[in-house]
Amino acid sequence: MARQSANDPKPGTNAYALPVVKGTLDLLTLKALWTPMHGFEVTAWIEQQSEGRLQFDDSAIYQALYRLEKKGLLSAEWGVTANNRRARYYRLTPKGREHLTTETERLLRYSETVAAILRSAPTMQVEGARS
Amino acid sequence: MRRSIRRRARDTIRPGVRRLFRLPIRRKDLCEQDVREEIRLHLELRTEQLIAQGMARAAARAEAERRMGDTRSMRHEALARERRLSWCEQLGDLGRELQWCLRGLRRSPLFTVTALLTLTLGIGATTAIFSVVDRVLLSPLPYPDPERVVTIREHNGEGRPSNLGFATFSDLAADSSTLASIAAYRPWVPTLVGDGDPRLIRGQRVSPSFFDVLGVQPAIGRGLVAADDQSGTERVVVISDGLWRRDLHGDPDVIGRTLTLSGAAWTVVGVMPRGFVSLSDPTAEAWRPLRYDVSQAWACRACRHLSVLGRLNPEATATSAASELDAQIKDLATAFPSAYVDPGVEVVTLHRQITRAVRPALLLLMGAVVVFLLIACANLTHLLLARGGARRGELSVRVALGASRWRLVRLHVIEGLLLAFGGGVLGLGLAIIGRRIMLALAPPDVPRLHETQLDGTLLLFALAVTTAVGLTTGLLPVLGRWRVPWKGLAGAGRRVTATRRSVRATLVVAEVALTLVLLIGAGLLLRSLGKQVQEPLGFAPDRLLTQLISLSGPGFRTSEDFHTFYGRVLDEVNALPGIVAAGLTSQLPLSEDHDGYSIHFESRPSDNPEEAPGARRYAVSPGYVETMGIPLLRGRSLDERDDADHPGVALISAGFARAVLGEQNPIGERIRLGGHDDGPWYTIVGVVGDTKQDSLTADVAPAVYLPLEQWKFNDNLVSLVVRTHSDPQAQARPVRDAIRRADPDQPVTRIATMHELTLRSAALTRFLLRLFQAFGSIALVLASIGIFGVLAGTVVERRDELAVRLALGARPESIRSLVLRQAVLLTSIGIGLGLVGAVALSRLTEGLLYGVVPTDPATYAAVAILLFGVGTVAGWIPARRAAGTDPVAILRRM
Repeated sequence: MARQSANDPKPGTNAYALPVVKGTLDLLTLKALWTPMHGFEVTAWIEQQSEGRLQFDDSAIYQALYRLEKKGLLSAEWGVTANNRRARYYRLTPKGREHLTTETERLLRYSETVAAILRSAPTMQVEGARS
Repeated sequence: MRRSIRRRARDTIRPGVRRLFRLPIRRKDLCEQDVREEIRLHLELRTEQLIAQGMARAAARAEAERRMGDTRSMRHEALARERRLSWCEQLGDLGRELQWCLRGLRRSPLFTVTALLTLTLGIGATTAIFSVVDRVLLSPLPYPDPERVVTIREHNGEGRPSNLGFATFSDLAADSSTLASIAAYRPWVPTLVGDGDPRLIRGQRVSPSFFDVLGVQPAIGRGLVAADDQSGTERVVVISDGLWRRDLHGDPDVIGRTLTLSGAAWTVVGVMPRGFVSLSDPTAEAWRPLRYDVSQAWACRACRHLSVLGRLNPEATATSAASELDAQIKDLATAFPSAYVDPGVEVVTLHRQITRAVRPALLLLMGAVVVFLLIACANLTHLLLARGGARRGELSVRVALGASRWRLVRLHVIEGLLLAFGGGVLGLGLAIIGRRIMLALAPPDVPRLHETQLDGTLLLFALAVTTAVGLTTGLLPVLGRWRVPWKGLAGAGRRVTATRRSVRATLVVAEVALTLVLLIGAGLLLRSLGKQVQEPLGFAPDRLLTQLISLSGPGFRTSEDFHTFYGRVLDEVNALPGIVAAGLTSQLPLSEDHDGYSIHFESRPSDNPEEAPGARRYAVSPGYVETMGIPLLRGRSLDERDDADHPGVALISAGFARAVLGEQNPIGERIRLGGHDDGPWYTIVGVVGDTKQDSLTADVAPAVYLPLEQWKFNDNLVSLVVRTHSDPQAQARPVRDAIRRADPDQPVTRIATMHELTLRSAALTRFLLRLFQAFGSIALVLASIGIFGVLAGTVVERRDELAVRLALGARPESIRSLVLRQAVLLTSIGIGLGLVGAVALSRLTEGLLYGVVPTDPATYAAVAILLFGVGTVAGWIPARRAAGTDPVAILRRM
């Protein structure tokens, strides 16, 4: 997984920005929380990992965080950032970790299956299948 | 500033810690504040990021806000999260509290078992009694619009309701605007000759609209129609589902088949639906047309032997129907003055009519069982209080750690409910068993008793009782504690506040009072039963076996046939070993037989035949009076010479003779039965003692005894009475076989010893008595446990004080009497209150007692003394223990 600096393409204007498939944002959020983070850190991490190719409102990340907390997959507490600012930190619960593993597995299997079918047609060029 | 610090302090507490200390869940405004703060930080960080990438501050800020998007749904999501978390937290708490209670109950098995047992008895008994009350008194009859089915009865001269004569019935039926339909019926007891033994079945002779009145039509075939009621047409019968399945093997082509009933062929035209019950005779299995017409002698207006049912029009009520029919019958009385004396009509719903006899008894029982449940509750509260004392340490720690009042209350309520539900489940089991026992004990004439079942209503009732008990018993101990200062809880362990002790004393007083009420009920019923059983019957009931024989079929046409059969039966039975004497009678005392005639004395002719005195007619074999042990007071008895070829003779009961003839010697007087100007004359040859006929509690019945062979009709239902040397029950089979030898086709039923008939006559009292005894004795045990518990607890709690007293020179006897005095005091107050309560409730037993007034002083005194004795004994053991306190050991420990 290559780490690149975020050179932030503007969502919506970017030629190859993709709308996020429903449900995947929750999974990405869980993935982001490999270490406790606050909301902006989660947002920034996903932008960085996707190289800005995923298109979503920042508020959607917070909704995902609240939703996951409600389900008991995350827990939250107030903490202080490196610059001494108050921030709400989120961390995975054991239940959340388990959920991440199984759901990742499931989504990967699903997308690989779909990709394999799509690739099997030699005349078709699917852009999304590259990653 | 300080406020925000405080807030920060609160909010930075980790959720786990927050839960541990039971801090409140964040409120809505705090939650929204969190969201605002998160957004602000996000926007700040994003703006800084964009500036670092080279944007101008204003543009960066705008871009950050654009990327943020809509924040309203964020807030919504945050609130949903809080709600959900708070629910989870509460549920988690509840789970933990349940576990805590369960652990506590497991740790003290003696307490748990006692509490569950108490609750099981209380809830089980209440549910079982309610199941009967619900079915018999509350649930509607199984007919469409059941409240519109009414019984119609006539008032006769004395104002007592009676049945109707056919002529009156057909006049009322002719035009009524309040009744949609009206039907008359009378009992019919045919002999069914089928595959097996001939047997008597119960049926009803009904007018054609009978099934319309009930609103139920046959499931197969048709009901009865007007044409069936014409004499000379084919004999048709409608049968019950049970008879169809059992005796006709559920034959699908049953319509048109013939049944042999009492020697005649009847064509089946209909089969009633499964589950149909004719509640005017729940055992009826066949219905034939009434086939009366006004020209018949037995259809007269004064021949009041038909029961009448009606179905009200939708807009009519029982009252409006009564006033309409009342007016009609008054018109009839003007037209036929000789047939009516002071006429009137009574209309009540069928439901009321059939439950009339048992309603007060069932209500009394319901009252008793509620009292019983209260005692059980009081006892459980006791146990919980005593336990609360033992668990003070544990609770003190909770209070010290900041548990709120509400949380302690909740713990108690959960514990109460937990116990109550355990008791409720067990109680339902007990109710199912109890229901069986009650079915076995209950008098046979409780309508619809066997329909009782475990249904939704009953479960709901049990649930309601259980919840109420759980809440009450859970809350009472806490309420008792309310006034106790909280720091008292955390304080030194053993000392118990006066408040709580007085709560427990109050409970004991209540228990004693309620127990007294139950025991007085039991005592009154016992006295009443004793009075009934001791009531002189006028004959000797010991070692007397009775059987009912019904005669029908082609072999019985002439009176010769009947008399030959009677003779053969008596010969066969008398030939058996172990028989002292045997006799036959057309009606048997205490057996619900009812056969009365108006009697005309030759020396006392009356102008108005309606005013002739009535008496029971007993057509008997020679030797009946001797077999029964009815004393012959004057003249001679009936013997073999008094047959059809000799002039008619009769015996008269002493009371009847005195009522009609005064002191005049009745011997030689001639009487006629029925009409005053026809029928043979019977000369009175002897006077016999009075006997009871209808029940133990009824007055002796005026009676005349005639020889069977001299009676103008043939009695096809006769009772055989046999006096045996030893146990009459053992002779039942040989006697029945002897009757079979006389004629194998005649069914023998109602085999019972006279002792059994006596008991059956007092069945309702015995039923009530047994239940009261059961409730009363359990209540007595519970109350004595209560007294014992309170005093034992007091002795333990006051141990220090008692030790000091002893050390200062108090004698053990004075310590003992100190404790004993308390037992006596509590019991006495309870007894006093109970006596007042019993007098107040005595109205409930009205009509259920015989020979004893509801405020019978002897019963009250006996029960009070019993309870006082039990209370003193229950206090004796703790008192002795108190006197045995070793002051040195205790003072050393202090």
